[in-house]
Amino acid sequence: MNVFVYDSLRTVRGKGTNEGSLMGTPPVELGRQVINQMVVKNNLKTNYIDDLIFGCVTQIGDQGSNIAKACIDISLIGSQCGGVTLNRFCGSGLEAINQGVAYVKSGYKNMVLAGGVESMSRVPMSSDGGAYLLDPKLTLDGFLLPQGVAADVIATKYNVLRHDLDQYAVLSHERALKARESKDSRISRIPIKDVNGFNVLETDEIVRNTTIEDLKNLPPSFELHGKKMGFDSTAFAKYSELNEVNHLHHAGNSSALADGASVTLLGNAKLGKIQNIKPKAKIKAMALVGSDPTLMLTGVVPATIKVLKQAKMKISDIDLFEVNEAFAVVPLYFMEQLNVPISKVNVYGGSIALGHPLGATGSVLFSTLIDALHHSDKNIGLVTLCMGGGMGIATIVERL
Amino acid sequence: MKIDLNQENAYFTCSYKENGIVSLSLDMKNQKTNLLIFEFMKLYFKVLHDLLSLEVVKGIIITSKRSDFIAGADIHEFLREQLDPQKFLSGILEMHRQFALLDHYKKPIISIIEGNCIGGGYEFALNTHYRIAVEGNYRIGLPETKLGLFPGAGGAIKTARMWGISKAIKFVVNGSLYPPKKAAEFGLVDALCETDIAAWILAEKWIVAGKPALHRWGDHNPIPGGNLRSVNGAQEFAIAVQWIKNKTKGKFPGINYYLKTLHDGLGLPVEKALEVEARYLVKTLQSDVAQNMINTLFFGVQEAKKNKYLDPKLGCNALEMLGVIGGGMMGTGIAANAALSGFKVLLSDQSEEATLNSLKVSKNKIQKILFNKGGSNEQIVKVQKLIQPLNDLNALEEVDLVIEAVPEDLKLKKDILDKITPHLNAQVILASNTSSIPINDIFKYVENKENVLGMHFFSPVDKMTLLEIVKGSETSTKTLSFACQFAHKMGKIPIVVQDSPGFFTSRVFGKYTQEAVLLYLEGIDPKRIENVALNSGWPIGPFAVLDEVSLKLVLDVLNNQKKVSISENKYKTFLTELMKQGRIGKKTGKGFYTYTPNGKSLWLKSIGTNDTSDEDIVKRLNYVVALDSYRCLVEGIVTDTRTADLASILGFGFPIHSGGVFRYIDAIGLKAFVSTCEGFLKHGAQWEVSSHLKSMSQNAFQFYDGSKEMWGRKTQNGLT
Repeated sequence: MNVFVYDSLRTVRGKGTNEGSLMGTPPVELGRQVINQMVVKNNLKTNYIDDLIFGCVTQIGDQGSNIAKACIDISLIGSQCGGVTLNRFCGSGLEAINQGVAYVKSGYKNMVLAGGVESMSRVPMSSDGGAYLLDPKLTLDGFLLPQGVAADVIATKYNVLRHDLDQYAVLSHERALKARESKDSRISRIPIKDVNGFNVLETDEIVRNTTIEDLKNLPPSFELHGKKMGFDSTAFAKYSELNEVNHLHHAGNSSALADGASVTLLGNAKLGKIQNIKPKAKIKAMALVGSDPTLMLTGVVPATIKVLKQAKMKISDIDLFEVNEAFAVVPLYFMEQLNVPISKVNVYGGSIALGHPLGATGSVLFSTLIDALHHSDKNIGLVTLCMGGGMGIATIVERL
Repeated sequence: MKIDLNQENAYFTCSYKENGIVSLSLDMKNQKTNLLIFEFMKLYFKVLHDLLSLEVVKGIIITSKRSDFIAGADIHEFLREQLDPQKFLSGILEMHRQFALLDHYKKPIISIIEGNCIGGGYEFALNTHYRIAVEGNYRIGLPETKLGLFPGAGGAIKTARMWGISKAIKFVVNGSLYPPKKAAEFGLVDALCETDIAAWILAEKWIVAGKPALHRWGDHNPIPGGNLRSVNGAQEFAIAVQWIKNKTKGKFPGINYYLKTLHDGLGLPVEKALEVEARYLVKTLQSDVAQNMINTLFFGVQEAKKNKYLDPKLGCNALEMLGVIGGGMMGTGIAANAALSGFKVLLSDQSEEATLNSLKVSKNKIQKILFNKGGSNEQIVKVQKLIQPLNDLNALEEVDLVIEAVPEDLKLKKDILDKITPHLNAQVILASNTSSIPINDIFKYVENKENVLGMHFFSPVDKMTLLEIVKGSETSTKTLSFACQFAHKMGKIPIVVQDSPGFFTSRVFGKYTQEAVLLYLEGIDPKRIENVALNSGWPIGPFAVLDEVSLKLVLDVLNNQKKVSISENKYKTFLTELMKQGRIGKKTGKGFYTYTPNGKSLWLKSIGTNDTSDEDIVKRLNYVVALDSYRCLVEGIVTDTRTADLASILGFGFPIHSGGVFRYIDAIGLKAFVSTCEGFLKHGAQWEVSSHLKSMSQNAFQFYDGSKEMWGRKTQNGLT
């Protein structure tokens, strides 16, 4: 059975810090607004929607107690629809979509909303604790690194230079700025409003005009973790060929903390007819892999290889890629390993320029990819993200 | 540019003292009192920036030259400004920004509070670094929720940050005002001084000692009990929200948005939190509930207080002593209230022994009230001494006002009047405290009918602020003026109504309980009737309130009535039947409910399986009250819609959020209201709609246009 993408929306992204404009807006409200926009924009008959699957990483405080169901209850859809929240780290938003696709494909559900939400300003990353962070069984026996250190290790291992990373970051901003100004990018991107209906944030607030010069003097962010806290040595223990880690990632070439939400409408053909909406795309294939936990962020490559195999496609069949810019090294490594030209990757900028609201990003990139395929009149797109603990996830879509 | 240390404007005067201290004295010359006005704020910021930037200025002490410190926000300005909500929001955010900028000077600003510091006035004081109250007879607090709002100029966030979640929520939701001593105990102010001089010395010391200019609610201070994200804080919040939900049934946007403010904002940096608060305040002001409540409970009360009969020349200025005849619940309550208001009272009951007993009851009431207000023992004794027993009726010759408050029995009342009138002086004002018996009947055989009237006090007397003054057929304007001023002195809000059985409040309220009984007789589960009434915003269900009043009293009133309709007869028969079964009311432990020390449980069992919707039950209970209020208006029993609205809320607890009976009809729309009433006609004649009302509904008449009353105005169709 074919599974169709009927629409995919994302909120504007705010800074996920004390300076962020969306700090006063709880995540459940971000979710509610993007869901309501989906309903209103497509004039949906809400009783045909079976479930909302939301990715959300830090499920505590404002994001605890199954935020997906909370979003549904206060949205236009109402409590007759289900809601489930999942955590697959940075890939949560795409995992939600892939699960939704699987549900529809299996006949378990006919039409679902899938996406994610994260307010990093209100619910700080890692505030939910967990065995991964604290249990000596994992920390002593394993070779887990803080993600930033892992990014630096990848860069060191594959000889990526600071200049390359910075140059990539500047490109991300340039592309995002250009996209932000274009009318096309506003179609699927919604502003966040307050209780009065006044805009709290009208447009993405992290992206800025920046140059290599601006980034040049930023201090490395993960040297402390690597050198002082001893995580570099953990890397050496696993990769004996390394005897030094170049700490190259910094605030300017890593993804930004962000607040935002995104939702994608998936369903079978029949439901599209019932709702009287036209599909924007069709799901071709999905894949998930576990990968090296120490390097952690390299999963995008095996996930892409796997999803291509599923779809019986070659890398050259893909017109556009969304590769999450967790750190600048990730897309650079991806392009190098799979021989993908930069002109096909993250054409509207990525998480470095726009921010990475952890649980939402998978769906945000998905939404961006659908927009990009439509606006550039391309057909096949691939979205992939690396994830904590060493995982990769990927999905291929065909524009309709 | 040279900055003048001594300067004066329309709102305040600054003068340089010594030790680097500038005295800022609030004195809003063009206003009746000091109010929080945008124009004042603008000048305040400008002048303070100038002064604080000077090396020589070390700190500022704010006092007031007027009797109020700041009495609150200017409600008129508030309502005007909110017409442009976006601009209003910017205005509030700019105010917060300016206050924050003043803090950058790190120089202390201190408030010495020596008069009412209320609402926006207290929120203003919260922006000073130290608050000193001087002992006196005035109050401090945040009563905004009583007008359907919430403290949205910083008060919501700052109180929660200062006191922790549960304490702040109780304070804000109750909207209580505290005398200075209590305010200091509570933490509304940082210090209490006996005199203004002592306060000044304390403030001066604080500045000279170079104490840090930090706010108790600042980001540097952790929230007592933890913020909303802490385990304890989350629990406190959840408990408080549930408490409020039960209390308000979610009917008040102001309180709801206050809770949203705390949820969304507490735990954020103060600056961000204040933005959250401001956005919710703007939304609250746009709500019908807030506008209704402001119109009825602020403007309506203001109007009632300066009602047209009130003429100080004719008032009760000379009144020193009054007599209260009857020492039951009402008599003792009235006596205590009068003594607390500074009057001497002569109190009597059936016998000397009964009189002594009621004296004791009255004095206990005084003790309890004053104790709660933080009064001293000497004060309590002094007030208690104002009440004396009336054992010799001849003593009544000395008094200028006698209030008869014996039980609701026309014959008894007449007998008592016969007994006392020979002992009264010719000018005495003679009032009957009755909830329903026509004044003209009570005073039928009394001479000097221009001096008699009804004073319907509500129970409990010290808590209920309404006084329904009943004009007999010959009651003079002078007498009414006397009564209105007396009401003022008693701390009551007077409304003047025409004589008729049940007057306005009891007559209309009786329709509520009657309809509940009729619904029951139609086979609707009485539990549902009670629950639906409570959920629609009544403070008490119809059966529970019948128990409070006692079925006997209700029947007495019904038996006094000459004409009885079919519905009234059903009601009467049913109550009589219950009485026969020994179900009399709460006092005897048996009524609609059975009362035990552990609480009450509904005794009345359902007699049918009628599944009328909750929505229709609400309509039956509320519309019948509103419809009869309209009849009272037409009959002239109540003079105008705003008075009726006010009385319906203050007198018998019509759902507050509606703003009263006529605003309730407006919210439904007269057309829909009338057609629903007509549909209910099968339930009895109480649903009859006059042709006049019908034709008004066809013209979509509204009783109000914003704040303006439309009833009684000439309209195009000439209807009213």
